[in-house]
Amino acid sequence: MIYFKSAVIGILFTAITSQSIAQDQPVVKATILETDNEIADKLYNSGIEQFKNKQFNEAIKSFTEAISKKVGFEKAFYNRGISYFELKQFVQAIKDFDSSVAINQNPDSYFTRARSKELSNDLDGALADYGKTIEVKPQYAQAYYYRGVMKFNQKDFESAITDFTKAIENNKSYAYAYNDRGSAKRQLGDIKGAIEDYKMAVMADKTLAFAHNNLGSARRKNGEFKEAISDYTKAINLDAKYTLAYNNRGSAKYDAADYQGAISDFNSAIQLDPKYAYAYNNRASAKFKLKDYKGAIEDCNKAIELNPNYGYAYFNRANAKEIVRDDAGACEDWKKAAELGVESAKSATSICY
Amino acid sequence: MKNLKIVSILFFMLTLSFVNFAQNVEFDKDNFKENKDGLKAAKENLALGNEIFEKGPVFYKDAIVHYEKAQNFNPNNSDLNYKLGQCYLASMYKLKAQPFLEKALQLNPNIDPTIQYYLGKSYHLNLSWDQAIAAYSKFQKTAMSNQDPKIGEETTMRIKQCYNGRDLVKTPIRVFIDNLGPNINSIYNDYGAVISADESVLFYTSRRPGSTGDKIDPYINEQFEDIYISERQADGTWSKGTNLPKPVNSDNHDANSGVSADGQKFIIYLGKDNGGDLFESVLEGKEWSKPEPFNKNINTKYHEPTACYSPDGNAIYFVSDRPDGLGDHDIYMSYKDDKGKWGEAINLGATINTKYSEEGVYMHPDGKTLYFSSQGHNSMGGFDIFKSILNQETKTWSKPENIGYPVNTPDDDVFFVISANGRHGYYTSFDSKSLGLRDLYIITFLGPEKQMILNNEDNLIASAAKPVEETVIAAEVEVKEAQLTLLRGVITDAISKEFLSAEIEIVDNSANKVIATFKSNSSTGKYLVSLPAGKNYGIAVKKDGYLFHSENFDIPKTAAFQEVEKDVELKKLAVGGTIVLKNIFFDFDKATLRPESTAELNRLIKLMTDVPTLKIELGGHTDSKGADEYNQKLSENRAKAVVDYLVKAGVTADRLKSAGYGETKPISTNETDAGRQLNRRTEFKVLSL
Repeated sequence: MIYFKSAVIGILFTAITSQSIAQDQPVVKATILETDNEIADKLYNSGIEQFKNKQFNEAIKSFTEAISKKVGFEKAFYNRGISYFELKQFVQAIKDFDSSVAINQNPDSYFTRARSKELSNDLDGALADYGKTIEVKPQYAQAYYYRGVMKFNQKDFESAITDFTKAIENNKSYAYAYNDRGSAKRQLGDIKGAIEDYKMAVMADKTLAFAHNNLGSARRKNGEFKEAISDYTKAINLDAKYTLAYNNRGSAKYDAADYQGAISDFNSAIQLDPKYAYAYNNRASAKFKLKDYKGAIEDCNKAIELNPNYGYAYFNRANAKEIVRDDAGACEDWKKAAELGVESAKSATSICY
Repeated sequence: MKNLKIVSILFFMLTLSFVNFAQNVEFDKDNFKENKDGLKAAKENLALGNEIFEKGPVFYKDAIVHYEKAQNFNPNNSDLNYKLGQCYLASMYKLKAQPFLEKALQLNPNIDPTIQYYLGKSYHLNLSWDQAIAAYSKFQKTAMSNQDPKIGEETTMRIKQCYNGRDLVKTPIRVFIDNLGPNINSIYNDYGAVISADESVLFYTSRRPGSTGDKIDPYINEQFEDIYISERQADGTWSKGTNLPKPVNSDNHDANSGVSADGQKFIIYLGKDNGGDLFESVLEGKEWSKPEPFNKNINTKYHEPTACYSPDGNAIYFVSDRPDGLGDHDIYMSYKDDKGKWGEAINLGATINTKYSEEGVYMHPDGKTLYFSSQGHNSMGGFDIFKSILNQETKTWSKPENIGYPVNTPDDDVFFVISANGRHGYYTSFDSKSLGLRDLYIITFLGPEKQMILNNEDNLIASAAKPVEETVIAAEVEVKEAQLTLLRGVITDAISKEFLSAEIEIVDNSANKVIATFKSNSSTGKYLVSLPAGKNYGIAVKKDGYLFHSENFDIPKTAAFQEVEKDVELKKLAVGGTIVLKNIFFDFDKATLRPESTAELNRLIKLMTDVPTLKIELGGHTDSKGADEYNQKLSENRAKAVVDYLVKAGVTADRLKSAGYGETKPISTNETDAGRQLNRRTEFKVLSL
């Protein structure tokens, strides 16, 4: 039972009599008694200001006082909830959203409670709350989107696509939803569909380096190496420190048989992240193609040093050792690669004594 | 006319010297006037060479030494160049033929048209496919090609081989080819390697000094063949090859063929009797037994040069040119029956055997992959090595597959064996790495190029790549702060101007409720009231002995903060005194009292009760709008309505008088709304006390 204390305006009349100062003429003064509701509202509003200034702890204080002054102050619960959310104090956040939805079926409360649960690893709870959000507000695009991401992470790509599609229906320029639907399609082997979605993502938001990168990778998978290289370049132009994109562009150049160009990109990736084992492994491959077998072996050594269970690096090193007539070394590496699950290494070991 | 002819000949020669680089130079004393001795020696060498050359192609290679001497003396004789080219083509050094043949044609474009055939062969061997096809095609148009259908057919086959070769070299197989080294090879001819399944024993044939009997075969001017054996050592190298003692090797030619999978027996070819037959020797302890011939199902009076065992030893595959075959030499097989007798020879059929020759058969230890050499199928020239796989269920062979360049070349590639794991092949070749003549080579098959594996990663999930928490803060609320009207002023006696401490009563007219009362300060007369917006306030200032003062404030909800100064002068209760009753309200254009008037009317009743002698007049006033008569009547009726209310409340009627003044007594202008509002009023006037 929710009840609101009716606002009563009281007027206080005070006789201000200053007896110590003889000349001062006493005055009868009347002041309006502020109601608790007004105080609550004011605190609430200053809480919002503090929130906007990212003073989340202060905001929480304001909302807490507002809540104490005004019974059933749903918005204050919600706002305190998101303040806790910003501070990643999900337990408190969830409590506030609980209070909020008890007063009013606020879809934002359900949604942010879902986010809080997801981020605190209560995946079932999160799924249920995204569902509840959608139930309360069927056009809540973000709820579909995040539920889609959860489905994606559970490798249920079909359901993910359904949710991303719903998100897009409710927000035609939802770049993230396009991107992720592209990724889900890619996981299902629908590369052409993925390319279309990634294109929509970069159209909806031209600043998303990762979407350009993903478009490049889908095109690379589709054998469109030239286009892929151009996409990766766009990603790099947006984010000059995008290590992955350098590594990917190098790989696309490798596919396009531009091994020298590939090496230059792998160099950039390594420069940005000297511990990026993939880039060493990939550079080894490009060196192998350029018949720099010694260089290839050295790069594989580095990759293996960074990741001693790096199966592909063992496999690649074995291939280089084979060409430099180090059959024993090659066999040792192939065997190690096979142990680490590299399929193509298994057949290679058939020649080993 | 004669002069003209000389000029034209000169001109022709001049042109030739520009176009042509050299002229054919005969071994003629006119051409070598200053070196008669040299010419004599050269001509002698030429004659010696020619003598050998005349014996036929088998002997061509021996003419080379003489021809080269003559060539050194006179490199510009087209006939000699042509013969040297042919000799080299028939030798181990085939690749050297090309420049001689090209020069012969260049020196004499009208040379024997058959030169195109030899040129075709040399281009073919040098992998110059298009030039070879062009030369062979030119040769096909010559009389010689047309005269002999066999030659014509062979040329057609060679053209086809060039096309095959052109395709095959585009996709070379990845191999290392290594010379087996001095423990195995010599500067003489070494060939025909076979291995046991585990690659532990190697048999091969060599024509080197120190062979059994140590004699030269006068027909070929080389040592008689002996069979050699080598074993793989712990470090993977081969032991020094040694020739097997008698009775395996004889004083005559002894050539090995296939070895059993376990290395315990092997097949020997002996060519001296019955057209060349196959024998078998078995390892007994450390001794190899005297070779015994296979039975008549295998050995015929025809040529049976090579054979191999099936891995289980119960079958042999062998080559024979017996007349019932599909071509020259064919591949046959024979099964051993329960009694150990080799059964009838079975031709492997048209999938394997062609109308050309098949040779060098080898069954892989897997028991189904057959390696053999053939001049047919898609050979790129001479014998190429092929493989075909036996379908164990249907007993049919797959289409033979050329094992590819660079193992296969335009020349003969034969005697190929392969290790059980497919990693190593052994064959005979002659190339720049050879220690002398033909040598044994080991091929390391790398298989299809191993695809290097790259690693990539993407940011598939946008919200993971660039997390954006889109928290939406709930909107600000409109704070319902009471907007205030501050009413302040001083209360005084109207006559003496003395400050009065009066009672101030605040009425919420719509609720008919006194919401506050207070007093002004007695020494200053000051008061201050804050009136929250949104109400109609009636304010009455009262003091005993004075007429009360009535004010009305209507403060709408939206009113902004305002301060109103209102000094109030209270009039003593005296005859003639008047007050305007500002909180008496009527319905529009009517004389009906509105409920908001209640508080004021009650105040009036109280005054009449408190002062029982008081007699008053209630006067109604209107503004100037409307007709005079109408206004007069409305004011009368309104005054009467108040009187009636008071009478009803118990005030005796004779104390009350009502009067309507219409618009006759304005207290303000009728030109403005505010003025007219002041003029519409109900007044109270003391008639007597």
